[in-house]
Amino acid sequence: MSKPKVAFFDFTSCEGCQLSKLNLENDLLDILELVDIVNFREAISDHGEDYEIAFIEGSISTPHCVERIHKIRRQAKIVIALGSCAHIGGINAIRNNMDQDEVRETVYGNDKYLFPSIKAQAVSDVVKVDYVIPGCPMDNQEFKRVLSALLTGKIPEIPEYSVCVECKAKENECLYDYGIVCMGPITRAGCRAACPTNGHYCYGCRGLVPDLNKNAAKDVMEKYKLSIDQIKKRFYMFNTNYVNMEEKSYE
Amino acid sequence: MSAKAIAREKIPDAVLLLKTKYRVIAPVPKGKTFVFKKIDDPQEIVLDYNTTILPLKKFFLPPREVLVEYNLKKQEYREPEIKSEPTVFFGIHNYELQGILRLDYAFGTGVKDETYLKKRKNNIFIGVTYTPDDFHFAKSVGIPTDLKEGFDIFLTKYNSHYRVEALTDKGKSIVSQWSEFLEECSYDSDPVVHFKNKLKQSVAGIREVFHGAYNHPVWKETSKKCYSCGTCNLVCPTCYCFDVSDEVVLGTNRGSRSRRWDSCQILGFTEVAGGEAFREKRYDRVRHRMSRKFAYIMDDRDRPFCVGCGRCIRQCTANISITDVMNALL
Repeated sequence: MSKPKVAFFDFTSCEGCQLSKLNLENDLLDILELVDIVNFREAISDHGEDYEIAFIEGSISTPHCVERIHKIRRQAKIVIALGSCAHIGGINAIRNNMDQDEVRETVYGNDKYLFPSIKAQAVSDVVKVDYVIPGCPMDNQEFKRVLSALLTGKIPEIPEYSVCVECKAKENECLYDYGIVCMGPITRAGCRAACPTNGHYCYGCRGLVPDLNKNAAKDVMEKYKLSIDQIKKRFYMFNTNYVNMEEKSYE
Repeated sequence: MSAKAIAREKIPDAVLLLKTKYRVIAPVPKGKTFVFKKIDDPQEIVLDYNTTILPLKKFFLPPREVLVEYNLKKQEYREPEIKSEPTVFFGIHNYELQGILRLDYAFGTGVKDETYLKKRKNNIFIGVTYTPDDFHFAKSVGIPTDLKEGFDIFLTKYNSHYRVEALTDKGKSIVSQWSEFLEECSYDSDPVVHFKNKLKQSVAGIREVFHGAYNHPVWKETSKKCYSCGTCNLVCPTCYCFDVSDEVVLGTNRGSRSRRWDSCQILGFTEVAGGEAFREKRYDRVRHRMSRKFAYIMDDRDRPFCVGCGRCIRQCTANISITDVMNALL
Protein backbone atom coordinates (compact mmCIF):
# COMPACT_ATOMS: atom_id res chain seq x y z
CA MET A 1 0.00 0.00 0.00
CA SER A 2 1.42 3.36 -0.94
CA LYS A 3 1.77 5.96 1.75
CA PRO A 4 -0.88 8.69 1.81
CA LYS A 5 0.34 12.01 0.50
CA VAL A 6 0.01 14.84 2.97
CA ALA A 7 0.34 18.58 2.46
CA PHE A 8 0.50 21.50 4.88
CA PHE A 9 -0.67 24.93 3.80
CA ASP A 10 -0.46 28.21 5.64
CA PHE A 11 -2.93 31.05 5.33
CA THR A 12 -3.17 34.14 7.55
CA SER A 13 -1.39 33.07 10.72
CA CYS A 14 1.83 33.18 12.66
CA GLU A 15 2.71 29.73 11.24
CA GLY A 16 3.37 28.57 14.78
CA CYS A 17 1.09 25.56 14.41
CA GLN A 18 3.10 24.30 11.45
CA LEU A 19 6.38 25.01 13.14
CA SER A 20 5.33 23.23 16.31
CA LYS A 21 5.20 20.03 14.31
CA LEU A 22 8.93 20.26 13.80
CA ASN A 23 9.13 19.96 17.60
CA LEU A 24 7.79 16.43 17.33
CA GLU A 25 11.41 15.38 17.02
CA ASN A 26 10.97 11.95 18.57
CA ASP A 27 8.09 11.11 16.27
CA LEU A 28 9.01 12.83 13.02
CA LEU A 29 10.79 9.79 11.57
CA ASP A 30 7.85 7.56 12.54
CA ILE A 31 5.47 9.97 10.87
CA LEU A 32 7.58 10.02 7.71
CA GLU A 33 7.44 6.23 7.64
CA LEU A 34 3.67 6.47 7.46
CA VAL A 35 3.03 9.40 5.14
CA ASP A 36 4.66 11.25 2.26
CA ILE A 37 4.81 14.96 2.95
CA VAL A 38 4.63 16.68 -0.44
CA ASN A 39 4.08 20.27 0.60
CA PHE A 40 5.29 21.90 3.81
CA ARG A 41 6.69 25.37 3.27
CA GLU A 42 8.23 25.63 6.72
CA ALA A 43 10.15 22.40 6.39
CA ILE A 44 10.74 21.36 2.77
CA SER A 45 11.32 23.14 -0.52
CA ASP A 46 9.22 20.78 -2.69
CA HIS A 47 5.77 21.94 -3.68
CA GLY A 48 3.85 18.85 -4.74
CA GLU A 49 0.32 19.39 -5.98
CA ASP A 50 -0.71 15.76 -5.64
CA TYR A 51 -2.01 15.08 -2.11
CA GLU A 52 -4.89 13.39 -0.33
CA ILE A 53 -4.78 14.97 3.12
CA ALA A 54 -4.45 18.74 3.48
CA PHE A 55 -3.72 20.39 6.82
CA ILE A 56 -4.69 24.06 6.75
CA GLU A 57 -3.26 26.63 9.08
CA GLY A 58 -4.47 30.23 9.28
CA SER A 59 -7.64 32.15 8.58
CA ILE A 60 -9.09 33.10 5.21
CA SER A 61 -8.59 36.85 4.99
CA THR A 62 -7.94 37.88 1.38
CA PRO A 63 -9.62 37.20 -2.00
CA HIS A 64 -6.46 35.29 -2.90
CA CYS A 65 -6.92 33.05 0.19
CA VAL A 66 -10.42 32.20 -1.01
CA GLU A 67 -9.10 31.20 -4.42
CA ARG A 68 -6.31 29.07 -2.94
CA ILE A 69 -8.49 27.27 -0.40
CA HIS A 70 -10.99 26.30 -3.10
CA LYS A 71 -8.18 24.88 -5.17
CA ILE A 72 -6.92 22.85 -2.20
CA ARG A 73 -10.41 21.60 -1.42
CA ARG A 74 -10.85 20.41 -5.00
CA GLN A 75 -7.64 18.36 -4.76
CA ALA A 76 -7.72 17.00 -1.19
CA LYS A 77 -9.89 14.11 -0.05
CA ILE A 78 -9.59 15.22 3.57
CA VAL A 79 -9.20 18.80 4.78
CA ILE A 80 -8.18 19.40 8.38
CA ALA A 81 -8.14 22.84 9.99
CA LEU A 82 -5.11 23.29 12.24
CA GLY A 83 -5.20 25.74 15.12
CA SER A 84 -7.49 28.57 16.17
CA CYS A 85 -7.10 30.78 13.08
CA ALA A 86 -8.17 28.02 10.69
CA HIS A 87 -10.74 26.60 13.11
CA ILE A 88 -12.60 29.75 14.23
CA GLY A 89 -10.81 32.77 12.74
CA GLY A 90 -8.95 33.22 15.99
CA ILE A 91 -6.95 36.29 16.89
CA ASN A 92 -7.05 37.53 13.29
CA ALA A 93 -10.77 38.06 13.64
CA ILE A 94 -10.28 40.78 16.26
CA ARG A 95 -9.83 43.19 13.33
CA ASN A 96 -13.23 42.25 11.93
CA ASN A 97 -14.78 44.77 14.28
CA MET A 98 -12.49 47.61 13.21
CA ASP A 99 -12.78 49.88 10.21
CA GLN A 100 -11.34 47.66 7.44
CA ASP A 101 -9.87 50.56 5.49
CA GLU A 102 -8.06 51.79 8.57
CA VAL A 103 -6.75 48.30 9.23
CA ARG A 104 -5.28 48.12 5.72
CA GLU A 105 -3.73 51.54 6.10
CA THR A 106 -2.16 50.63 9.44
CA VAL A 107 -0.59 47.51 7.99
CA TYR A 108 0.31 48.55 4.44
CA GLY A 109 0.43 52.36 4.61
CA ASN A 110 0.25 53.95 1.19
CA ASP A 111 0.33 50.55 -0.52
CA LYS A 112 -2.99 49.58 0.99
CA TYR A 113 -4.67 49.45 -2.44
CA LEU A 114 -2.28 46.74 -3.57
CA PHE A 115 -3.45 44.36 -0.83
CA PRO A 116 -7.17 43.75 -0.87
CA SER A 117 -8.50 41.95 2.18
CA ILE A 118 -11.76 40.55 3.50
CA LYS A 119 -12.88 39.87 7.07
CA ALA A 120 -10.86 37.06 8.67
CA GLN A 121 -12.88 33.86 8.51
CA ALA A 122 -12.56 30.26 9.61
CA VAL A 123 -11.70 27.80 6.84
CA SER A 124 -15.09 26.17 7.35
CA ASP A 125 -16.79 29.49 6.51
CA VAL A 126 -15.47 29.10 2.96
CA VAL A 127 -15.08 25.39 2.20
CA LYS A 128 -16.07 22.10 3.81
CA VAL A 129 -13.70 21.07 6.61
CA ASP A 130 -13.61 17.42 7.60
CA TYR A 131 -11.82 17.61 10.93
CA VAL A 132 -10.30 20.21 13.21
CA ILE A 133 -7.35 20.25 15.58
CA PRO A 134 -8.17 23.32 17.69
CA GLY A 135 -6.02 25.52 19.88
CA CYS A 136 -3.49 28.31 19.84
CA PRO A 137 -1.12 26.75 19.17
CA MET A 138 -2.64 23.41 18.21
CA ASP A 139 -1.65 20.56 20.51
CA ASN A 140 0.93 18.18 19.10
CA GLN A 141 -0.39 15.22 21.08
CA GLU A 142 -3.80 15.82 19.59
CA PHE A 143 -2.23 16.13 16.13
CA LYS A 144 -0.65 12.71 16.60
CA ARG A 145 -3.95 11.23 17.80
CA VAL A 146 -5.84 12.64 14.82
CA LEU A 147 -3.21 11.46 12.36
CA SER A 148 -3.11 8.03 13.99
CA ALA A 149 -6.90 7.75 13.74
CA LEU A 150 -6.90 8.81 10.08
CA LEU A 151 -4.19 6.31 9.18
CA THR A 152 -5.93 3.45 10.98
CA GLY A 153 -9.28 4.25 9.39
CA LYS A 154 -10.94 5.58 12.53
CA ILE A 155 -12.86 8.83 12.89
CA PRO A 156 -10.60 11.32 14.67
CA GLU A 157 -12.29 12.41 17.88
CA ILE A 158 -11.65 15.56 19.84
CA PRO A 159 -13.30 16.32 23.20
CA GLU A 160 -16.77 17.86 23.04
CA TYR A 161 -16.84 18.69 26.75
CA SER A 162 -15.55 21.84 28.44
CA VAL A 163 -12.15 22.76 29.87
CA CYS A 164 -13.69 22.49 33.39
CA VAL A 165 -13.58 18.70 33.02
CA GLU A 166 -9.82 18.69 32.58
CA CYS A 167 -9.34 21.48 35.11
CA LYS A 168 -11.25 19.56 37.80
CA ALA A 169 -9.27 16.41 37.05
CA LYS A 170 -6.16 18.44 37.92
CA GLU A 171 -7.83 19.65 41.11
CA ASN A 172 -7.22 23.31 40.31
CA GLU A 173 -8.97 26.00 42.32
CA CYS A 174 -11.69 27.67 40.29
CA LEU A 175 -10.51 31.06 39.00
CA TYR A 176 -14.03 32.45 39.40
CA ASP A 177 -13.49 32.15 43.15
CA TYR A 178 -10.78 34.77 42.67
CA GLY A 179 -13.11 37.01 40.66
CA ILE A 180 -11.34 36.11 37.41
CA VAL A 181 -13.47 35.60 34.30
CA CYS A 182 -12.42 32.32 32.72
CA MET A 183 -13.66 30.90 29.41
CA GLY A 184 -13.18 27.36 30.77
CA PRO A 185 -16.84 26.47 31.39
CA ILE A 186 -17.75 27.04 27.74
CA THR A 187 -14.51 26.25 25.92
CA ARG A 188 -13.81 22.93 24.25
CA ALA A 189 -11.33 20.83 26.23
CA GLY A 190 -8.31 18.97 24.91
CA CYS A 191 -5.58 21.30 26.19
CA ARG A 192 -5.41 19.48 29.56
CA ALA A 193 -6.47 22.84 31.07
CA ALA A 194 -3.00 24.24 30.41
CA CYS A 195 -3.79 27.89 31.17
CA PRO A 196 -5.84 27.53 34.39
CA THR A 197 -3.35 24.95 35.68
CA ASN A 198 -0.63 27.55 35.30
CA GLY A 199 -2.65 30.27 37.01
CA HIS A 200 -4.08 32.03 33.98
CA TYR A 201 -7.70 32.20 32.88
CA CYS A 202 -8.79 30.24 29.82
CA TYR A 203 -8.72 32.37 26.66
CA GLY A 204 -11.11 30.15 24.76
CA CYS A 205 -8.56 29.38 22.05
CA ARG A 206 -10.09 25.98 21.29
CA GLY A 207 -13.45 27.49 20.42
CA LEU A 208 -16.72 27.02 22.24
CA VAL A 209 -18.30 23.74 23.24
CA PRO A 210 -20.83 22.50 20.65
CA ASP A 211 -23.57 22.24 23.29
CA LEU A 212 -23.43 25.84 24.48
CA ASN A 213 -25.98 27.25 26.92
CA LYS A 214 -26.07 30.78 25.56
CA ASN A 215 -28.08 32.44 28.31
CA ALA A 216 -26.52 30.84 31.37
CA ALA A 217 -23.90 33.57 31.80
CA LYS A 218 -26.46 35.79 33.54
CA ASP A 219 -26.40 33.76 36.74
CA VAL A 220 -22.63 33.50 36.74
CA MET A 221 -22.39 37.28 36.35
CA GLU A 222 -24.72 37.72 39.30
CA LYS A 223 -22.92 35.23 41.52
CA TYR A 224 -19.47 36.73 40.91
CA LYS A 225 -20.63 40.33 40.34
CA LEU A 226 -19.27 40.62 36.81
CA SER A 227 -20.29 42.97 34.02
CA ILE A 228 -21.31 41.99 30.49
CA ASP A 229 -18.26 43.86 29.18
CA GLN A 230 -15.92 41.74 31.27
CA ILE A 231 -17.43 38.62 29.75
CA LYS A 232 -17.50 39.97 26.19
CA LYS A 233 -13.87 41.03 26.41
CA ARG A 234 -12.87 37.44 27.01
CA PHE A 235 -14.81 36.30 23.96
CA TYR A 236 -13.12 38.82 21.66
CA MET A 237 -9.67 37.30 22.08
CA PHE A 238 -10.36 34.21 19.97
CA ASN A 239 -14.10 34.09 19.43
CA THR A 240 -14.91 37.43 17.76
CA ASN A 241 -16.57 35.67 14.86
CA TYR A 242 -18.86 33.83 17.24
CA VAL A 243 -19.90 37.03 19.05
CA ASN A 244 -20.52 38.82 15.74
CA MET A 245 -22.60 35.95 14.41
CA GLU A 246 -24.66 35.90 17.61
CA GLU A 247 -25.19 39.66 17.68
CA LYS A 248 -26.23 39.62 14.03
CA SER A 249 -28.80 36.94 14.78
CA TYR A 250 -30.41 39.23 17.36
CA GLU A 251 -30.62 42.23 15.02
CA MET B 1 -16.96 9.60 81.08
CA SER B 2 -13.25 9.25 80.61
CA ALA B 3 -11.45 8.53 77.39
CA LYS B 4 -8.21 8.98 75.54
CA ALA B 5 -7.49 12.29 73.93
CA ILE B 6 -4.74 13.86 71.88
CA ALA B 7 -3.77 17.51 72.10
CA ARG B 8 -3.87 19.37 68.79
CA GLU B 9 -0.12 20.10 68.86
CA LYS B 10 0.71 16.40 69.25
CA ILE B 11 -1.03 15.48 65.97
CA PRO B 12 2.05 15.99 63.74
CA ASP B 13 4.09 13.67 65.97
CA ALA B 14 1.38 11.04 65.83
CA VAL B 15 1.33 11.29 62.02
CA LEU B 16 5.11 11.11 61.86
CA LEU B 17 4.93 7.77 63.66
CA LEU B 18 2.29 6.55 61.17
CA LYS B 19 4.57 7.54 58.32
CA THR B 20 7.19 5.01 59.37
CA LYS B 21 4.80 2.22 58.37
CA TYR B 22 2.24 3.74 56.03
CA ARG B 23 1.68 6.13 53.20
CA VAL B 24 -0.36 8.90 54.83
CA ILE B 25 -3.00 10.84 52.88
CA ALA B 26 -4.50 13.90 54.60
CA PRO B 27 -6.07 17.29 53.86
CA VAL B 28 -3.66 20.16 53.15
CA PRO B 29 -4.42 23.74 52.11
CA LYS B 30 -4.45 24.73 48.43
CA GLY B 31 -4.99 28.48 48.04
CA LYS B 32 -8.37 29.27 49.58
CA THR B 33 -9.39 25.64 49.75
CA PHE B 34 -8.03 22.17 50.52
CA VAL B 35 -6.95 18.97 48.79
CA PHE B 36 -6.14 15.42 49.90
CA LYS B 37 -2.47 14.76 49.38
CA LYS B 38 0.26 12.32 50.29
CA ILE B 39 1.94 13.80 53.34
CA ASP B 40 5.65 14.49 53.41
CA ASP B 41 5.66 16.94 56.28
CA PRO B 42 2.93 16.33 58.91
CA GLN B 43 2.94 20.05 59.73
CA GLU B 44 1.11 20.62 56.41
CA ILE B 45 -2.01 18.82 57.64
CA VAL B 46 -5.04 20.96 58.43
CA LEU B 47 -7.75 19.19 60.41
CA ASP B 48 -10.06 22.22 60.54
CA TYR B 49 -11.16 22.19 56.93
CA ASN B 50 -14.57 22.43 55.32
CA THR B 51 -13.96 20.09 52.43
CA THR B 52 -11.48 19.36 49.64
CA ILE B 53 -11.84 20.16 45.91
CA LEU B 54 -11.92 16.49 44.93
CA PRO B 55 -13.18 13.65 47.12
CA LEU B 56 -11.10 10.62 48.15
CA LYS B 57 -12.31 8.73 45.08
CA LYS B 58 -9.34 10.16 43.16
CA PHE B 59 -7.11 7.60 44.90
CA PHE B 60 -9.28 4.63 43.97
CA LEU B 61 -10.75 5.79 40.68
CA PRO B 62 -8.18 8.25 39.29
CA PRO B 63 -9.30 10.86 36.71
CA ARG B 64 -7.58 8.74 34.06
CA GLU B 65 -6.15 5.26 34.33
CA VAL B 66 -4.93 2.58 31.94
CA LEU B 67 -6.99 -0.61 32.12
CA VAL B 68 -5.05 -2.71 29.65
CA GLU B 69 -2.05 -2.38 27.38
CA TYR B 70 -1.80 -4.38 24.16
CA ASN B 71 0.19 -5.16 21.08
CA LEU B 72 -1.92 -5.53 17.96
CA LYS B 73 0.66 -7.47 15.97
CA LYS B 74 1.60 -9.95 18.69
CA GLN B 75 -2.04 -10.15 19.84
CA GLU B 76 -0.91 -9.80 23.42
CA TYR B 77 -2.28 -7.79 26.28
CA ARG B 78 -1.48 -7.21 29.90
CA GLU B 79 -3.06 -5.32 32.76
CA PRO B 80 -0.88 -2.82 34.56
CA GLU B 81 0.16 -3.91 38.04
CA ILE B 82 -1.81 -2.17 40.76
CA LYS B 83 0.04 -1.40 43.95
CA SER B 84 -2.01 -1.33 47.11
CA GLU B 85 0.49 0.26 49.42
CA PRO B 86 -0.60 0.25 53.09
CA THR B 87 -2.20 3.66 53.43
CA VAL B 88 -3.67 5.68 56.25
CA PHE B 89 -6.31 8.21 55.24
CA PHE B 90 -6.03 10.71 58.04
CA GLY B 91 -8.48 13.46 58.97
CA ILE B 92 -11.37 12.18 56.90
CA HIS B 93 -14.94 13.47 57.32
CA ASN B 94 -17.56 10.78 57.70
CA TYR B 95 -19.52 11.73 54.54
CA GLU B 96 -16.27 11.24 52.64
CA LEU B 97 -15.92 7.65 53.80
CA GLN B 98 -19.64 7.14 53.15
CA GLY B 99 -18.85 8.12 49.57
CA ILE B 100 -16.19 5.42 49.38
CA LEU B 101 -18.62 2.87 50.84
CA ARG B 102 -21.09 3.77 48.07
CA LEU B 103 -18.36 3.27 45.47
CA ASP B 104 -17.50 -0.10 47.05
CA TYR B 105 -21.11 -1.05 46.53
CA ALA B 106 -21.09 0.14 42.90
CA PHE B 107 -17.81 -1.54 41.98
CA GLY B 108 -18.12 -4.61 44.20
CA THR B 109 -21.69 -5.72 43.45
CA GLY B 110 -22.41 -7.87 40.41
CA VAL B 111 -19.47 -7.70 38.01
CA LYS B 112 -16.53 -6.83 40.22
CA ASP B 113 -14.23 -4.04 39.12
CA GLU B 114 -10.84 -5.36 40.20
CA THR B 115 -9.01 -2.22 39.06
CA TYR B 116 -10.93 -0.35 41.75
CA LEU B 117 -11.18 -3.09 44.38
CA LYS B 118 -7.45 -3.84 44.43
CA LYS B 119 -6.78 -0.28 45.50
CA ARG B 120 -9.24 -0.64 48.38
CA LYS B 121 -7.00 -3.18 50.10
CA ASN B 122 -4.68 -2.10 52.93
CA ASN B 123 -6.62 1.07 53.69
CA ILE B 124 -6.94 2.50 57.18
CA PHE B 125 -9.31 5.39 57.83
CA ILE B 126 -8.92 7.88 60.64
CA GLY B 127 -11.93 10.15 60.84
CA VAL B 128 -12.41 13.59 62.27
CA THR B 129 -15.49 15.65 63.09
CA TYR B 130 -16.20 18.85 61.18
CA THR B 131 -18.24 22.01 61.48
CA PRO B 132 -20.75 22.15 58.63
CA ASP B 133 -20.43 25.24 56.42
CA ASP B 134 -23.22 26.80 54.30
CA PHE B 135 -23.18 23.84 51.91
CA HIS B 136 -22.86 20.59 53.87
CA PHE B 137 -26.19 18.79 54.30
CA ALA B 138 -24.97 15.31 55.27
CA LYS B 139 -27.42 14.96 58.14
CA SER B 140 -30.33 15.32 55.71
CA VAL B 141 -29.11 12.29 53.76
CA GLY B 142 -28.74 10.11 56.83
CA ILE B 143 -25.15 10.94 57.79
CA PRO B 144 -25.11 12.76 61.17
CA THR B 145 -21.66 14.02 62.24
CA ASP B 146 -21.28 11.25 64.83
CA LEU B 147 -21.69 8.39 62.33
CA LYS B 148 -18.45 6.41 62.55
CA GLU B 149 -19.18 3.54 60.17
CA GLY B 150 -16.07 2.31 58.38
CA PHE B 151 -13.49 4.16 60.45
CA ASP B 152 -10.63 2.45 62.27
CA ILE B 153 -10.07 5.44 64.51
CA PHE B 154 -12.30 8.46 65.01
CA LEU B 155 -11.25 11.84 66.37
CA THR B 156 -13.91 14.07 67.89
CA LYS B 157 -12.86 17.67 68.22
CA TYR B 158 -13.21 19.50 71.50
CA ASN B 159 -11.58 22.89 72.05
CA SER B 160 -7.88 22.16 72.06
CA HIS B 161 -7.86 18.40 71.84
CA TYR B 162 -9.42 15.46 70.02
CA ARG B 163 -11.09 12.53 71.69
CA VAL B 164 -9.52 9.34 70.26
CA GLU B 165 -11.72 6.30 69.69
CA ALA B 166 -10.25 3.08 68.33
CA LEU B 167 -13.03 1.25 66.52
CA THR B 168 -11.28 -1.75 64.96
CA ASP B 169 -8.33 -4.00 65.76
CA LYS B 170 -6.17 -2.10 63.30
CA GLY B 171 -7.26 1.11 64.99
CA LYS B 172 -6.51 -0.25 68.45
CA SER B 173 -3.04 -1.30 67.41
CA ILE B 174 -2.30 2.22 66.11
CA VAL B 175 -3.71 3.87 69.24
CA SER B 176 -1.55 1.63 71.43
CA GLN B 177 1.53 2.89 69.56
CA TRP B 178 0.37 6.44 70.16
CA SER B 179 0.33 6.05 73.96
CA GLU B 180 3.06 8.65 74.52
CA PHE B 181 0.92 11.30 72.75
CA LEU B 182 -2.33 10.50 74.52
CA GLU B 183 -3.77 11.78 77.75
CA GLU B 184 -6.79 10.92 79.85
CA CYS B 185 -9.71 13.24 79.36
CA SER B 186 -13.27 13.51 80.47
CA TYR B 187 -16.17 14.69 78.38
CA ASP B 188 -19.88 15.06 78.91
CA SER B 189 -21.36 14.57 75.49
CA ASP B 190 -20.63 14.97 71.78
CA PRO B 191 -20.40 18.54 70.52
CA VAL B 192 -23.70 19.88 69.18
CA VAL B 193 -23.64 20.38 65.42
CA HIS B 194 -26.03 22.44 63.30
CA PHE B 195 -26.46 22.15 59.58
CA LYS B 196 -27.48 25.36 57.83
CA ASN B 197 -28.17 23.60 54.56
CA LYS B 198 -30.78 20.87 54.68
CA LEU B 199 -33.44 18.94 52.83
CA LYS B 200 -37.04 19.57 53.86
CA GLN B 201 -37.58 15.86 54.30
CA SER B 202 -35.35 13.03 55.51
CA VAL B 203 -34.18 10.45 53.01
CA ALA B 204 -36.71 7.86 54.12
CA GLY B 205 -39.24 7.77 51.33
CA ILE B 206 -37.35 10.23 49.17
CA ARG B 207 -37.40 7.80 46.26
CA GLU B 208 -41.18 8.14 46.10
CA VAL B 209 -40.84 11.89 45.60
CA PHE B 210 -39.67 11.19 42.07
CA HIS B 211 -42.93 9.48 41.15
CA GLY B 212 -44.81 12.08 39.18
CA ALA B 213 -41.89 14.52 39.25
CA TYR B 214 -40.80 13.76 35.69
CA ASN B 215 -42.38 16.89 34.28
CA HIS B 216 -41.79 19.15 37.28
CA PRO B 217 -40.87 22.73 36.20
CA VAL B 218 -37.74 22.68 38.39
CA TRP B 219 -35.84 20.65 35.78
CA LYS B 220 -36.27 23.26 33.04
CA GLU B 221 -35.70 26.15 35.43
CA THR B 222 -32.45 24.64 36.69
CA SER B 223 -31.25 23.74 33.21
CA LYS B 224 -31.48 27.36 32.09
CA LYS B 225 -28.58 28.13 34.42
CA CYS B 226 -26.55 25.00 33.67
CA TYR B 227 -23.50 25.07 31.37
CA SER B 228 -23.21 21.27 31.40
CA CYS B 229 -19.57 21.65 32.39
CA GLY B 230 -19.75 18.45 34.43
CA THR B 231 -18.16 19.88 37.57
CA CYS B 232 -20.98 18.57 39.81
CA ASN B 233 -20.25 15.01 38.70
CA LEU B 234 -16.49 15.26 38.73
CA VAL B 235 -16.31 16.54 42.31
CA CYS B 236 -18.99 14.13 43.58
CA PRO B 237 -17.80 11.38 45.97
CA THR B 238 -20.35 8.92 44.58
CA CYS B 239 -20.23 9.67 40.85
CA TYR B 240 -18.23 6.94 39.19
CA CYS B 241 -19.25 6.98 35.52
CA PHE B 242 -16.33 6.74 33.17
CA ASP B 243 -15.65 6.66 29.45
CA VAL B 244 -13.36 4.05 27.94
CA SER B 245 -11.19 4.77 24.94
CA ASP B 246 -8.47 3.05 22.93
CA GLU B 247 -5.36 4.71 21.70
CA VAL B 248 -2.73 3.23 19.42
CA VAL B 249 0.66 4.93 19.48
CA LEU B 250 1.26 6.51 16.07
CA GLY B 251 3.29 4.28 13.78
CA THR B 252 3.41 1.31 16.18
CA ASN B 253 1.34 -1.72 17.14
CA ARG B 254 1.30 -0.68 20.77
CA GLY B 255 -1.90 0.60 22.25
CA SER B 256 -3.74 1.03 25.49
CA ARG B 257 -7.30 1.12 26.70
CA SER B 258 -7.95 3.65 29.42
CA ARG B 259 -10.85 5.10 31.31
CA ARG B 260 -11.44 8.65 32.37
CA TRP B 261 -14.07 10.35 34.51
CA ASP B 262 -17.17 11.21 32.55
CA SER B 263 -20.26 13.22 33.43
CA CYS B 264 -23.92 12.62 32.72
CA GLN B 265 -24.34 16.39 32.26
CA ILE B 266 -22.29 16.32 29.06
CA LEU B 267 -24.17 15.73 25.82
CA GLY B 268 -21.59 13.26 24.51
CA PHE B 269 -22.19 11.02 27.54
CA THR B 270 -25.69 10.22 26.35
CA GLU B 271 -24.76 9.74 22.70
CA VAL B 272 -24.68 6.28 21.22
CA ALA B 273 -23.48 4.88 17.89
CA GLY B 274 -25.15 6.67 15.01
CA GLY B 275 -25.28 9.96 16.88
CA GLU B 276 -28.56 9.38 18.73
CA ALA B 277 -28.60 11.02 22.18
CA PHE B 278 -30.94 9.66 24.83
CA ARG B 279 -30.89 12.83 26.91
CA GLU B 280 -30.44 15.48 24.29
CA LYS B 281 -32.14 18.26 26.26
CA ARG B 282 -30.22 19.86 29.08
CA TYR B 283 -33.14 19.46 31.47
CA ASP B 284 -33.18 15.71 30.76
CA ARG B 285 -29.61 15.59 31.99
CA VAL B 286 -30.25 17.76 35.06
CA ARG B 287 -33.16 15.50 36.02
CA HIS B 288 -31.09 12.41 35.39
CA ARG B 289 -28.37 13.45 37.83
CA MET B 290 -30.81 14.10 40.68
CA SER B 291 -32.88 11.01 39.93
CA ARG B 292 -29.83 8.84 39.91
CA LYS B 293 -28.62 10.19 43.23
CA PHE B 294 -31.93 9.85 45.07
CA ALA B 295 -34.08 7.35 43.21
CA TYR B 296 -32.41 5.12 40.62
CA ILE B 297 -29.56 3.91 42.75
CA MET B 298 -29.55 3.03 46.41
CA ASP B 299 -27.11 0.72 48.14
CA ASP B 300 -28.22 -2.48 49.87
CA ARG B 301 -29.26 -0.49 52.93
CA ASP B 302 -31.46 1.71 50.78
CA ARG B 303 -29.32 4.78 51.22
CA PRO B 304 -29.14 7.34 48.40
CA PHE B 305 -26.02 7.99 46.36
CA CYS B 306 -25.63 11.47 47.80
CA VAL B 307 -23.60 11.97 50.97
CA GLY B 308 -24.33 15.66 51.53
CA CYS B 309 -20.77 16.94 51.17
CA GLY B 310 -22.06 19.99 49.30
CA ARG B 311 -19.21 19.98 46.78
CA CYS B 312 -21.52 20.20 43.76
CA ILE B 313 -23.09 23.34 45.24
CA ARG B 314 -19.85 24.90 46.45
CA GLN B 315 -18.12 24.42 43.11
CA CYS B 316 -20.95 25.15 40.69
CA THR B 317 -20.05 28.27 38.71
CA ALA B 318 -23.70 28.79 37.86
CA ASN B 319 -24.85 28.58 41.49
CA ILE B 320 -27.06 25.52 41.10
CA SER B 321 -27.89 23.85 44.41
CA ILE B 322 -28.89 20.20 44.68
CA THR B 323 -30.69 20.97 47.95
CA ASP B 324 -32.72 23.79 46.35
CA VAL B 325 -33.70 21.50 43.50
CA MET B 326 -34.65 18.67 45.85
CA ASN B 327 -36.55 21.02 48.16
CA ALA B 328 -38.58 22.22 45.19
CA LEU B 329 -39.75 18.62 44.78
CA LEU B 330 -40.34 17.83 48.45
